Amino acid sequence: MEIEFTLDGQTVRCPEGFTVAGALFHLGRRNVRVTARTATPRSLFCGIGVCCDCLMQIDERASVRACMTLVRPGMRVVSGQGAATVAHQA
Amino acid sequence: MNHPAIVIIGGGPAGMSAAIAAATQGLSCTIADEGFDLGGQIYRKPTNPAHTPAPHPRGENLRAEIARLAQHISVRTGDSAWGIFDGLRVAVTSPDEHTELLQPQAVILAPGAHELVPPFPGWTLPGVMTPGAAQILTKTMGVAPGKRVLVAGTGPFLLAVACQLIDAGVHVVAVLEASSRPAWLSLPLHGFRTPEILAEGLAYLSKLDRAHVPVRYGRIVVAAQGETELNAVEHAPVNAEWFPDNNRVETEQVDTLLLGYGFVPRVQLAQMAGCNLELRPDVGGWIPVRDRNLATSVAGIFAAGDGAGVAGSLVAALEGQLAGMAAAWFLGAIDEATFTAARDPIEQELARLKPLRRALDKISALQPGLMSLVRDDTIVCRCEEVTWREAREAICAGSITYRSLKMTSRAGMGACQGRFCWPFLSRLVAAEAKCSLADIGPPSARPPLGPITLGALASEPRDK
Repeated sequence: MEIEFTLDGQTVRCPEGFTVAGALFHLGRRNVRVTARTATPRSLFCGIGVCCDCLMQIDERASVRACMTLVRPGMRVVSGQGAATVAHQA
Repeated sequence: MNHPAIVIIGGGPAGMSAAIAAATQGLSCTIADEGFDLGGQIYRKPTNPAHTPAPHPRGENLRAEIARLAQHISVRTGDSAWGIFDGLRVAVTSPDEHTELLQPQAVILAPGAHELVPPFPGWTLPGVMTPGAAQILTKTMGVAPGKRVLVAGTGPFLLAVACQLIDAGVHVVAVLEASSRPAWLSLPLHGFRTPEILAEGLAYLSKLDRAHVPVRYGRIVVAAQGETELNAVEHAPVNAEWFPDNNRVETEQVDTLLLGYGFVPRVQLAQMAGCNLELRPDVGGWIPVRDRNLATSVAGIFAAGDGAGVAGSLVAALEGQLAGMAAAWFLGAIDEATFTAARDPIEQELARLKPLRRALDKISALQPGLMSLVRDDTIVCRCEEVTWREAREAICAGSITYRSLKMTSRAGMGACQGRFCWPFLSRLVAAEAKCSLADIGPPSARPPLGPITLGALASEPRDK
């Protein structure tokens, strides 16, 4: 069964039981965010919720770990946009 | 609220075994684990129902045993244990953001370990990740980490992951093992009492051989290249202290690099509870001090498995059993004779596993050359994007503790709370300031251990 969700506003699909990080890799996209200080891309790193490199905005909530979150139907996933996101959240 | 007799943090082999041992003595246990299911990382179950690799029998047996004891064991998967207060009060938050303060009479810490990756030029590029992260993608979802994969670092886990990737149809170009081949060839001398583990290692090597994946000993990755993603890796042969020969660098075109130099025990809850720690680099760094019965220095808190010193899943399961029985004795559910009768065979089996484990620890012990890879502009703290130049300036100006380096350079101040940078940053500090790792100390551990919302903190307990 496929699950539909949005990634940066675009409707995408992945199989059931995928983490957000897994879904991104499945979709051929590995970058999950751009860093705040040097605006460089980051991806999945430790995979077990410790390093916090894969933080994304999920359902309007900032700094959610993509590796620890299962995709749900209709989920709204937005990649981190570095300084802009930080300023917005502040 | 109904408080369990024992709260167990971590549902891997140590935590599950501890729960089974204590619940068998009639004690009520709660296991809290952030994962989607019991199993820890090693026995992690597929989350994608269409992806059905053969499950690990040891993991399946433990889960079945827990299910049989459901009357005594409450399983809280997805729940994050992020703080421990006033002795034995454990703060737990569920995925739907309810927070509870569990108040058991004993706590068994079995949080496991995370991987150890040194800073080097290019290590923050997408495509560079831990072997464990790639293993989870393939094992639980059937997703490939990339198209051309290089596996590097040290230890048998690299071989296991490389084999799993091959089985999943991923192209593994090579495995680079930092230690020398002669060091590995000496293993049978230490593992004659554990032939089944040696056989497992040989099976990995022969699978790699059949798949034409070379295992190259005495080589380390020195740099990763790419603009927005990894596209090449530079590696070089090393001497006995792992200093690379920069005249013999080879470049490998790969889109994925899996890098792991062993594991770091997750000691933050023990630290927060006030347990005494000791520095044991041979088993991953700072660990809680434990007595023969795995009791920490705080009455009622026991520690088992990789989170108390990295030793692998077999040791973790045995330690879990021992900690579960020790907690049962501590709580008066069994008498001393019953406890020592249970302890004897566990200790015998731990003693059988020990020589091979010791030898593996020695082969994979971090060497100083690994700390020589950082350049001035290399990021040493991934979270706060602090470069080695910035950190070194702060160190030279006198910031040689975790706290002061954090204040002056922001290194270690980010979301991972120093867990990824400090194992190496502390070594860089020690080398620069000519002091010992023990003097520098572990990063401070403060609640919450993971990201939780203010809403979750302010929430009402679910079942008040």
